[in-house]
Amino acid sequence: MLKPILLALLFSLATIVHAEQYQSAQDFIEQTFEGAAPKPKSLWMDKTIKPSAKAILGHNPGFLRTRYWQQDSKSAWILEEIGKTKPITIGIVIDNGKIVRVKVLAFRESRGWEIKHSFFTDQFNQTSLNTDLNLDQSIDGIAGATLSVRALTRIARLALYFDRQIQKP
Amino acid sequence: MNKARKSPWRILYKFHRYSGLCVAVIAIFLALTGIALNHTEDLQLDIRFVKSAALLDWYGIDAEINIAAYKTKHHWLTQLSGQVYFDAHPLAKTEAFLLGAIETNGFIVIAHSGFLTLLTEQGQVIEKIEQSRRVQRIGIDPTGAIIIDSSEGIYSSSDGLLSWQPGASGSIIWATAAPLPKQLKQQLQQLTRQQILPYERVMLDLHSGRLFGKAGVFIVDLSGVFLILLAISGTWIWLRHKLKSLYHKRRNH
Repeated sequence: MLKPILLALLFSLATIVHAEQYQSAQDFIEQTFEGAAPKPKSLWMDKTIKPSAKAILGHNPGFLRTRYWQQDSKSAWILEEIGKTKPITIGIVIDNGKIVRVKVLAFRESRGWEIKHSFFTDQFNQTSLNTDLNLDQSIDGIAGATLSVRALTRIARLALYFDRQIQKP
Repeated sequence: MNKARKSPWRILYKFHRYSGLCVAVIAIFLALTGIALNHTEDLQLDIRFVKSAALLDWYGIDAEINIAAYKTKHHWLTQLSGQVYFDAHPLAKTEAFLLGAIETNGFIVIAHSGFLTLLTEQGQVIEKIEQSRRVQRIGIDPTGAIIIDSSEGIYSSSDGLLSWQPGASGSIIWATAAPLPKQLKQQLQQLTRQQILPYERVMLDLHSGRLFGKAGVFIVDLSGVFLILLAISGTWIWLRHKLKSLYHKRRNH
């Protein structure tokens, strides 16, 4: 009698946590380049990039290669970062070294989903990276979503850093 | 003397004293578990898991028997309860089913229904690639190109998964599930079993008494009722003393 009750309670916790996709990666890319998406390119985490990526994230990137889409000065990135326990998938568009769009594509955590709203993500628009690899504008947090806010901020910095690498002559 | 012993105040004092003693242990226990739950994140109770076989048995958590396993040239890729393993090393957590794994040109590609993961031969993640089409199985053609059979048909990639072309040529070898070696199976079952029950769940069940079944819940409920009565009787006794001392002070003045 006890086991079913405890197991039901245990798995009721698990059901709270579910993946929610707001936009597919393909739709995000198509929308960014207005239906004429360029072919993806890849950026490898070589010896020069990896240490800075690690410093920005506060941990090893967890991947050796990331893909991006580039057209002139505009680049689009789809990156993942863990908020608390599950990865958040984030799409970021950068133009001339400044963020022009941030979109939460999938959120899998049980808390902190408020970061998906444009009132929060719009704060990143027109931010760029300073010499310390930090954002040049401050981002207001959301009470109860601290870890998700931090994850999104880290990914914004990482995308800007990656963009800086691909724009190098 | 006999009258004094039977007075309502005497009974109230006795009730307060003895019920206080009885409930003290449970009150301390509830306070400790409550404090721990208030600091779940600081104590990492939600991301640390119980490894004790006895406690896992008590919860009825058995070894996972639904196992998806695929053998590449040199390695095993396995999924149990949402955990993907590269041989015996945890690789990633995902609810998407493992559909196959293949090894080609020094790389390993793992297929899940919504994405592919490209690995080095040593099991290091190169890239996780989302798929707009639902992948059903993964294979390899004689040239070493990676083939996916998806909801939109067959596609092949020969540039490290950067681009896909519809169709495939030659005979395709599809990844097929295989039974895990017994020793690895037991090792993975043990590892997986120890990643199911977070300490937070145990602490919640201790706090509510649910860990000990209906009797535990009843005892915690009863303790709660007694704590309320203790608060009332304690206030009552204090008021009586206060009023008595005020009365004596006024009388002496």
